[in-house]
Amino acid sequence: MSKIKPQVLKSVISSGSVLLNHHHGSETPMASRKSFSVPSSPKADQIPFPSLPVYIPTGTSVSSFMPAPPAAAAASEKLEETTTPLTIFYHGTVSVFDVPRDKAESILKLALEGNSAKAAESALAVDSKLVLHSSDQQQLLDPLDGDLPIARRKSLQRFLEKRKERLNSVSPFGCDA
Amino acid sequence: MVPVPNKDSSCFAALSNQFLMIPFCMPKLMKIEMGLGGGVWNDGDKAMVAAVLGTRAFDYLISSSVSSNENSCMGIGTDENLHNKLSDLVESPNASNFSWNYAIFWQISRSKSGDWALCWGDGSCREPKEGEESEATRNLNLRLEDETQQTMRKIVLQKLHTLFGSSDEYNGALGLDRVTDTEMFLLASMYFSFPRGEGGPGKCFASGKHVWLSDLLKSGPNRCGCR
Repeated sequence: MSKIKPQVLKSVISSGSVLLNHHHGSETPMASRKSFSVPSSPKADQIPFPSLPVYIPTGTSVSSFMPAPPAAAAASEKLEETTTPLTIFYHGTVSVFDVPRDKAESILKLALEGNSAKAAESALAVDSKLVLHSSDQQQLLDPLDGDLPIARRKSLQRFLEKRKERLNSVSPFGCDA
Repeated sequence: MVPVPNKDSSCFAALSNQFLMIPFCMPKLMKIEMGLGGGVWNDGDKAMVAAVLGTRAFDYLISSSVSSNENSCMGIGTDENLHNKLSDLVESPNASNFSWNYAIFWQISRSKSGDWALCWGDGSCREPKEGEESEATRNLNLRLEDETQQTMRKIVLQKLHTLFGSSDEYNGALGLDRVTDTEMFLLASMYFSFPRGEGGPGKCFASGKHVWLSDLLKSGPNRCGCR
């Protein structure tokens, strides 16, 4: 099983944390409060987040760094924001989470702790609100979600179905829904 | 507005043979910026919705949805029978060959605090017939303006749908086709509610009497659907 080269990993990290990390290109950004230590030889076997959704990136430049199957966490932060993006590259996929700093640190601790049962437990206890893409954010926070007026929804569905039927009947090709 | 007595609860149907948007009354001018239907409005959204619905209707929408946050209109379904009745009103001409352009059933409901309000129950509107297409589709000069208006209408409907807390997609049939004035009015009306005594339907509700409005298009901009 191939491991990611330490120097490749660190170049990824330093390029990602340009804004924040004043030791640009330094070997071990451990001293700064705002940067995170990263294992130089990640253990690909340990998977603390089995159930988190991942999406397959299309042609990100990072994937060229990654011999399969590595596991690495790169923290990229913007200044002056309470939640910042945490990007995880795993097994050829990329996930982005908006997390506050303390949560990011606990995630990285879990990654470092490895395969212990305790780590798995606390990983599952991670707040599900971390798992957000920006477009989903509003719906997760929306208290009305799932409580919609039924009448309105039914009327709308009926209207749209009627419209579809009319369009299908008018079309000379008679395409089906 | 004509009250249509119903066994279960007395509700009112709003009927109209007017083609254009009937602006609603503004009961109180509360300029609330956020919280509309649980979502957040940015200025662009607000401007577009106001342009399509009309400023009065838009102002009313904002003020009413914020103040009625207890959302008394949840969980009410209507039956097939009601929808058929509404459809008949718009689709089947009577003996004098008259039929309505749209029919809306406003459902009475009660909030937790005991306040009465009218919310969307069901509605139906007439399909546009051949030859009734607007001037714009025939006149080349107006076509671009018409296309813009169509696009804006669809965007506004999508925004209302999303901003009032819906997570499912406002799906595609409208993307292929036109939204007529009457249809826009009907679809936008779904997001309105009227506390007893407010707005056209609300005042009709409070008075318990028929309200018959005529010549709304000719009356000035101050005239709204209420007395």
